[in-house]
Amino acid sequence: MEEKDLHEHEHHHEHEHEHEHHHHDEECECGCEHEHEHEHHHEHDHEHHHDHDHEHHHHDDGCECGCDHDHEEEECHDPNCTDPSHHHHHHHDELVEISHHESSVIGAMKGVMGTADYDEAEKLLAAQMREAGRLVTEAGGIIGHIKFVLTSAGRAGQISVTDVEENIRRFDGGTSTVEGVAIVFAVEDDKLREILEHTIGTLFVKEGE
Amino acid sequence: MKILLVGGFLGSGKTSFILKLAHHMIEDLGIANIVILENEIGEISVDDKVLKGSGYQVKGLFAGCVCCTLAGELPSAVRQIEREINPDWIIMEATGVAFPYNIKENVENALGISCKIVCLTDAQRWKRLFRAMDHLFRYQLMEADVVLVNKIDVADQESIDQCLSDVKELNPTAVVVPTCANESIPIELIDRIMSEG
Repeated sequence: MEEKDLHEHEHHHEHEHEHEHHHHDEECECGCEHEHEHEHHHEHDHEHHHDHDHEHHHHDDGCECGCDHDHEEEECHDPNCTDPSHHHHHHHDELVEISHHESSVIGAMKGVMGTADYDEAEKLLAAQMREAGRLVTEAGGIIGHIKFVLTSAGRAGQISVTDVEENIRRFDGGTSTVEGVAIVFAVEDDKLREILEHTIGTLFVKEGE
Repeated sequence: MKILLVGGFLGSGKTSFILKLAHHMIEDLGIANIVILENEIGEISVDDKVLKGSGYQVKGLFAGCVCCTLAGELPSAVRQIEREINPDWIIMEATGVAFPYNIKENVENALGISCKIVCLTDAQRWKRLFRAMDHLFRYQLMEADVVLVNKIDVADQESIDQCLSDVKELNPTAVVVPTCANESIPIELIDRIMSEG
């Protein structure tokens, strides 16, 4: 595989950075009055010590927004937080869930493929993961790793892709889902979402199809 | 109960190393009671499934990093493992962007349990990644007791030499050992890590 010079994509650490991302899809009409933003505010003194303020303000305990989305329990990680409304995480129907950690952009996705043939599914998934990696690099990004677990008919494997290698590690499994993450750097959220939806996302089928 | 922290950037071979280490501990050293504490920053975990599928006891901390965002949850997670399983060893796999020294400091301060750090680097990708994210690597390797310069079987000699040189400069006190991704880890090295743990 051709090695690319990433010098031009040099990452610059900022001493304060703020991330905001919206967990609703564009058509969300849940209508509740709560903020649906996932805000991360990180302060780094860069003496190998991190101070983090995290706000996960989604739904409070009395939320009656009535939308169909999952309201999964999640603990707020701010040790000083006493706000009960910070303990719900609002999941919506987006195929790719974007989050951040330090300078990485994390795209997580989970779905069902339209074949029960494990070998075929593994080939298809690995090919789309390679394509996602190629597109991340082409977009000026740096691949940390793209790693997915595939399980089908009792067989399972973990496929891992970077810019220079691809590994498949098989193990015992028992269900039929695909799930995994792409952790990359220096790529915009929407770009990563677009890449994953147009590569690995094309393999997924909706329930009933 | 002893704790070994395994750190290193994404794709450096942490999970493969842990699988080999756990196998050696159980098969050769007769240490059966091991828990692998897996930390992944994504909401979807991928490595714990491989470790569980290989038959090991695995506990997980997901959707955050125990060196920072989940730091407050780590001591209670370790105490819970101690209470419920009381293993001889906890092998903790950090996320690929974690600073293991922060985790060590947290565990030692909160629990009074000393930890050893093994950190892996990918010799094949070292030059490009270090040039782009030197800050991350600088602090990731800090205070590591052992650094495995991994994947020398697929890296060119210049990359290996550069990685070895940079690692020794970043952490002059660490034991630095070149390793192959797909071959067994030297038994003497594992025994040394275990005895120092």
